[in-house]
Amino acid sequence: MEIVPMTVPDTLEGAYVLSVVDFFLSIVIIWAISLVLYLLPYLNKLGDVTDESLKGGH
Amino acid sequence: MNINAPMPGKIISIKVNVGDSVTKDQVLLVMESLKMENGIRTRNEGVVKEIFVKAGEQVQTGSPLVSVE
Amino acid sequence: MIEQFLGLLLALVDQTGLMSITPGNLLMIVVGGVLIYLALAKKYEPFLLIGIGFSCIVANVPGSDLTAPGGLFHYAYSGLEKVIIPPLIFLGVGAMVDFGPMIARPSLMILGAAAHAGIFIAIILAKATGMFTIAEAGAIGIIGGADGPMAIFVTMKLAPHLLPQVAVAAYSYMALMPLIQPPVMKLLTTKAERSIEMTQIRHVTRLEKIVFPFVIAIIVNLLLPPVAPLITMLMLGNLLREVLMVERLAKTVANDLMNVITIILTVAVGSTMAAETFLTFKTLLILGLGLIAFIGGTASGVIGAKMMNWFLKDKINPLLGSAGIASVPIAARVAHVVALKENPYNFIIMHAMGPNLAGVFGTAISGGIMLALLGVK
Repeated sequence: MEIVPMTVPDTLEGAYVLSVVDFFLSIVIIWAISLVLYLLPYLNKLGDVTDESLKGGH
Repeated sequence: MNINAPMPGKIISIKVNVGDSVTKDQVLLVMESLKMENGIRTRNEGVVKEIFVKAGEQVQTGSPLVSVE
Repeated sequence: MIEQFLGLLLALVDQTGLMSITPGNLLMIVVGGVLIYLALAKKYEPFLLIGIGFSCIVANVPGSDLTAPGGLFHYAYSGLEKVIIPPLIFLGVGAMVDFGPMIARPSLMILGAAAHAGIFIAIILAKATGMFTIAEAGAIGIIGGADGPMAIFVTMKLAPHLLPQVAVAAYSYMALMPLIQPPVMKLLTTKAERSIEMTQIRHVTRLEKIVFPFVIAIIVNLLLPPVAPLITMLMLGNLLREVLMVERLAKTVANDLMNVITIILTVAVGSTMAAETFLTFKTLLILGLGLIAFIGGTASGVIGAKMMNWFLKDKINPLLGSAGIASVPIAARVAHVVALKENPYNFIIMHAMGPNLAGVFGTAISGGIMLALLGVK
């Protein structure tokens, strides 16, 4: 069996497929992004960036 | 007992003075956060002992606002 | 002599639009007037509705070529057609918004996706009417994302002829969210649930806030190319804000540039509201489906939050779910106000900002996947 990339057909069934796949995938992707954000606090082990050291650009 | 800022924002107005008696759920001051004005109340009755902020001041979450004894 | 004079006069009248004005034009001029009235008298989104209403009126006065190809307003529309305007708005939004509340509590991000089931309810219903293609249904569904620039972006890629209907529905319902959302939220929650107080969110450091835009921009460009222009610009704007060093640039994109783009956007949207395309039964259907999408999204967000509570030890206030709808910060404010009514000590605005900001990504991700599934680059 060969799997080729395809798009959703323009039918009511297509709308169901689009909706289910899109809703499910968006939950998965946003969950994956949230997992990445859990890693951000570990950056603070590298050191501290103070607001004062950044302010005053030209 | 200190009443702290529940969110970051700006103090709009202070409704009480040091020495005032306040009742439970009375609004002590009004602060603005994300363009919404919110009344900050006291859960206890008592006397206002100290006010830590001025109108117009920017506060962070947890900043002490008013002390009620 | 008199005949000659009348003949000249007639030729002059022919030059004007007087002879070609239709009842539809008159009705649309009234519609434009209503938008202006809502803006001025009711203070509903005046920054958007004044420009849209004005150019809607002008677009329906026949005669000039203002909205025809080559006309001045048509160039404003070209900014939408070439999808340049929506990413520039996102640049400004990025420079205005502090993503701290979202970074502080990533677990609530999922609500930003959960609150978008309304998009899909509307797509299925639109397709079920038999009156729309699936691409049109997608554009109608994205109204439920409650994100103006995103709705315009997706519509311009899927069904540009529906732009006026989608834009008007999205912006009007966003203005009406304080009326649309609370009944749905109250119906799906108990008083005890609405009174749940949340624990303080952690402090997010400057370093995290600076790294955040890079992380998101890389992920989105990698996984969701169709919406990369929007999110990339959102993250660039946010970076300008968070580095603190280029305050002048951050302020310019958040204020001056944003204002310029808003004028162009509103002119462009209003100028597409010509009677012959706007006054159709489909417009009514789209407005109805858009409302269903908003209600559905609010409901699915609240239900999503309640489902999260099945697994959480520290329960979250389910009203946060309704804030998962993208329009920042309207949805978070609505959640805050509803919670405050139950308990005057429960200030959930900052907690609600987390899902609310995640909602921006939720809409963008849903839109990006939709474009990909429909084969649009």
